[in-house]
Amino acid sequence: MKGLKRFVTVEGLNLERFFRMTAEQGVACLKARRRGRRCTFLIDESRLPVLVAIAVQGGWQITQGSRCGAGRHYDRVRRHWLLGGLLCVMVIGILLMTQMLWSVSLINAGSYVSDARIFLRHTGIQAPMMKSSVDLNELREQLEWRYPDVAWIECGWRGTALRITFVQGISSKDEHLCTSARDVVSAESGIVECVITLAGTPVVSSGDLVTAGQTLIQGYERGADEQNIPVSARGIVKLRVWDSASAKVSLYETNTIYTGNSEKNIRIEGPFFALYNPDKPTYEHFDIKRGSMPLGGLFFPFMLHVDEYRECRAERTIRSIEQVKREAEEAAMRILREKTGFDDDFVDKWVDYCMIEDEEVCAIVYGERIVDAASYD
Amino acid sequence: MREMRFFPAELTSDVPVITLSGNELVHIEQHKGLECYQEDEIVLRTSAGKLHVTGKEMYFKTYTAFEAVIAGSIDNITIQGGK
Repeated sequence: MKGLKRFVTVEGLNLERFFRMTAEQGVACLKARRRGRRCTFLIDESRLPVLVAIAVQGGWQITQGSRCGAGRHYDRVRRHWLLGGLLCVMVIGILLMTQMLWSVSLINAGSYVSDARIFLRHTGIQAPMMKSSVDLNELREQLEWRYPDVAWIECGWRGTALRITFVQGISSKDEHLCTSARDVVSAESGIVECVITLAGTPVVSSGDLVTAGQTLIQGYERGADEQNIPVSARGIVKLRVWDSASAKVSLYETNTIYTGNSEKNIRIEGPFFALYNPDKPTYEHFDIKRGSMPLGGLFFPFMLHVDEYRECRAERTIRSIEQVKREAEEAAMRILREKTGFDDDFVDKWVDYCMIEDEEVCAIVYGERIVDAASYD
Repeated sequence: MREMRFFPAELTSDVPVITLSGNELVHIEQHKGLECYQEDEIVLRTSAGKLHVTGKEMYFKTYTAFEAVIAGSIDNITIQGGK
């Protein structure tokens, strides 16, 4: 066979003459390696009859060896043709199987699952079938027309599975709650700023004063036949609400004034005893400064404690009223923020101050904000 | 005979062209046949004389009527004799 190379071993005397004759006949010998009276080389298989003729003519013994390169694989396949055939069939089978649709998965389809499956069956999309026969764009358009409430639909392949993802316009929580009738009640007390009804019948309007727990949107709608149809009420009811917080700050502050008198009390403590002066200082008011030091190093279990008693007296001084008011306002504002949540923005806020028994300044902070009273988050 | 001066000698006559690549490969063109082939010595006939290639574990990478490529560990190349 032309193009295939085969190893040949030639044996006999005067191999040089054999090579000369092969060269004269135009046979190229490759990788010729001699071992004594034997030489092995590679030749083009189509030139093998010429080589055999030379060997017969000159009395050399010629032995055909294995094929080289692609020819060796060709021989192997020929020897194991059944296995090769099976392998080919398997490869073709796998390739065919990857070109087929084996499953359809509907993701986030919610209540549309069963209907979508019926629709797919009617349109002829069901496993197993060839992937090439499914037009994804057309399928997506058909599904979007069929389910207008769905925000959008994605169709795509994931291996051999067709994935149809429904992206719902409303959250799954809303969808779940929409299955039963309900009213929307106010979460806070305030004055209604605006009402946007998505489902149900509003029972309040702008300017109404509502209290926490009061119904804002009732869970029914008037049908075409004047019948009340129960629905799960939904909507946005903006309320203007007010919150307040107060904080008191003393007008006076107490400072410690040291007189300069002090006494020291030294105490030595060991594991089993303590040496100390039991007498306490005679000062009416004092601060204590304590110090400890290990005696004889860290591993020697004796400690020297020195307590220094400093005589002092408390002096009450009046503070600047403006500073106290500012501190009280800041404290009240912080309390209000903790109460309402730091994320809420106030549309307005103001502060009132009052003096309590000439001792304390009380700051009351009022914050006005707009909240969605119909939100259930 | 008038000498052709503008062409290389190997094109106008049958002198051997020997190309040595390192000490592992020698390419001989325009040889006249194999005289001797052993693992440590190969002798080729050329128009310039007998070409002796000595070395170790030598083998023919290619051997045709026009060229021979000898591979192995080549120690020495000499040409003996002449026309």
